[in-house]
Amino acid sequence: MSVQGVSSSLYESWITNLKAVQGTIRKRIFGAFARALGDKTVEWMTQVNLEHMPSFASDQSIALIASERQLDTAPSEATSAIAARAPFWLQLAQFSGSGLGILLGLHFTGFDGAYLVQQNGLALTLTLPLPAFTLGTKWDPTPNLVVTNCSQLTGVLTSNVTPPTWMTPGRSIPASQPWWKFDDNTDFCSRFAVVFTANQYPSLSAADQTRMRNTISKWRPAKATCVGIYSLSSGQMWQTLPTAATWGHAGNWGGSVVSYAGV
Amino acid sequence: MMQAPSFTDIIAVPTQDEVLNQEVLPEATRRSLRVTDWNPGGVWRTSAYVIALMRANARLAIATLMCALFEDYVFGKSQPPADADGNVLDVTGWAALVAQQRYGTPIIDATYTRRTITLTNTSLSSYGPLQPGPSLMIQFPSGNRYVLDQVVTIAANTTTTATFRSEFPNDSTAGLVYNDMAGSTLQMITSNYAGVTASNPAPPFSPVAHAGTGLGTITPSGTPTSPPHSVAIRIVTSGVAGVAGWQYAIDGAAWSATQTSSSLLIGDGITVTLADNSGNPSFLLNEVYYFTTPGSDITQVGADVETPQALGARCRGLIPAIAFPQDSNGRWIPISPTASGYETLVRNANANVRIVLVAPDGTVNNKVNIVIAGNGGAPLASVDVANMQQFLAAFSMETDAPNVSTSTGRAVSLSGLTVTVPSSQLTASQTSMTQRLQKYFGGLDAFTPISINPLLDYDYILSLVRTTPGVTKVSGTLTITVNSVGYTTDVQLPATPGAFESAQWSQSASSAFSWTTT
Repeated sequence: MSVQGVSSSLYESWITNLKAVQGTIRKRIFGAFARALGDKTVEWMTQVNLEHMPSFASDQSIALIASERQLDTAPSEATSAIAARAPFWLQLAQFSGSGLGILLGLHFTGFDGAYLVQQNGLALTLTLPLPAFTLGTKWDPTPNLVVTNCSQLTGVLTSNVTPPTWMTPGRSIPASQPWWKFDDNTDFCSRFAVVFTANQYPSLSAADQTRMRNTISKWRPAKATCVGIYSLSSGQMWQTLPTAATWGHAGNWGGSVVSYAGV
Repeated sequence: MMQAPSFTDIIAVPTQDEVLNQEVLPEATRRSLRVTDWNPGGVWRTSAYVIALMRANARLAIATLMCALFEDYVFGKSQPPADADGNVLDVTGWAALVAQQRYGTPIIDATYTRRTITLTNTSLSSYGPLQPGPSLMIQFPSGNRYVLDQVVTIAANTTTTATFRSEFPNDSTAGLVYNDMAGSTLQMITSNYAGVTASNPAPPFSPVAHAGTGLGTITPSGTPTSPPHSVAIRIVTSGVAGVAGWQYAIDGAAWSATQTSSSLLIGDGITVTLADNSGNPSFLLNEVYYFTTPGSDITQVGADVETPQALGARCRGLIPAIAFPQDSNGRWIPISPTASGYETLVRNANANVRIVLVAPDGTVNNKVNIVIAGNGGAPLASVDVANMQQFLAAFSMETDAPNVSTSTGRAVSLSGLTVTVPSSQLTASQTSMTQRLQKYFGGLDAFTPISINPLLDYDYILSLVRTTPGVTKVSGTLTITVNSVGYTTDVQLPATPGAFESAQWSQSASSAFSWTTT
């Protein structure tokens, strides 16, 4: 549908067919006036209406619609893709305050392949592609969320947060418990980090980092603390605070490359 | 076939002449009419002008409709691009309607400033009962006037306190700012109460606000050192005074070790005393008590009408709330709101809240720190903090532990300048300068609004002094004193690391600076 489909000649046709409007010149004059005032106004008002509907809106209007519907967008994303997603904004908003929400936000801002590693030993990631946005069809990305356990602790992890008597050791997390170690504060389990692997983002520009931070802040629960964004270029990594300690391929220290962006 | 008008075309607002030349006459020439033959004053040219005027009005309506349906424009998040003539359409006037109709969210109106005024009656006459309204009015040195806001009887030869409200709601753009100082010299406007004088002393402590239902009371006493301070006391073990376990936090610092004493010096010269008040147990688990020192004669901080931007932020914050489940009454049960979700909950709950900061705690697992403040980051009354804490606690969140606090006022003083004015303008200039500086430090300066933890702009403060009407010369070096340290540069708050502070300037220009007249 386009505005041509609702092109109006209503007023010009009407006025030039009035018996009071006789003669070629007079019909032309009245026709011109009716066109300028009546028919163009009908057409422009119709176009105004269409500009607020994502499927018909101009690029400028799509940008405004994306903003008011709080859609995450990537800088180079095609307008048509944003327009297709815009009607599903409320479905997307339902994932606010969840790990899936963060992953979806990162995906739509252009950062795929993220893992959310949580201190409590869970790792969340998203399989792609996501379901297509089809009008009239419910959009459900939950089957794309993959939750796995982090590696198990090889030994007991004793908290450095001690009871009031300082000589008493803190509580211990037993060996074999899936865990992601940020530090020795075993009580602070509301922490997570965003980790990219496979050399996806060997260098994150300042603008990229800002977009990531804003996206994570937007979607995370207010109580959850993101300790950082890590991009593993090669090798393996563990313990991500404040900068990642790395682990070589052969189980030796060193040999890995990790870039870090604080949040 | 017509070509669809572009985005830019639609939002442009042309003049009558532009419409005539760009739309009306071209339609005529397109129909082989020789419009140059239309004589000025003739029926066709005149008709063309009339049509052009009507079309120009229609274009304005079309452009307004186009922009008023985009929330970024309505809520002032961005502005429509300027048309060829540089005109920018302002549709923020639609914000209240859009918020109401789309989100069911009414705009928060401007509020009055309310104060506790002490009325001292040295006569043998009793007055009252006096009804709320202008039957009893007082005026501050700034010229701000307040009217009685409760029914009161001023008995003979007694001192009575009563609540007064500002004459008008807060409107900083119109100069209606009611951040007058405690301890001002007040003038009675209504003269029919002989022997009655008014004053507004600040008590050493605010009233203690209580988030909870326990009957126990907590009373602060002592002579606080280095005020201001905000104090929170939470009950960690139910019981009566002397048995109940409680902890305290001063200025938002970490909670203390658990105490059980019914009276304790908690630091900074502040002693708190617990009393049962006929309850048993009188102090209930997880209930919180708040107070500040010094207290204030202000019981409600007046605020401007909500800006389109703030209203828009509140509406936008409703969207993440879709993730919340709802109870049978349609009330949200937020399991774990986002930061914007918390902000919207808090803003919707209390019209006095104009600034909200939400941050996860750096230590405690599930604690969410929520700092609320009024216009310009002004500290809110303890009762507002307590009510907000209770409001969030009522949601019984599964794991979140929201912790509400307000900003802490940080005293700021100015000195070091000698200001020269014509003698005939001395009083007017001093009053004007006081108001300008009050607006700035109160966060109500339109050009440089400051908020919680502001940067106090040295050059801007100096410019406010220098450009005050009547001032012909300013000499000396401006010194900004914060926390007993004098600065001749910009000053960044907070003075206490990690605190949430707002600037509190309680001088008058006449006393802050030296004045000479010509």
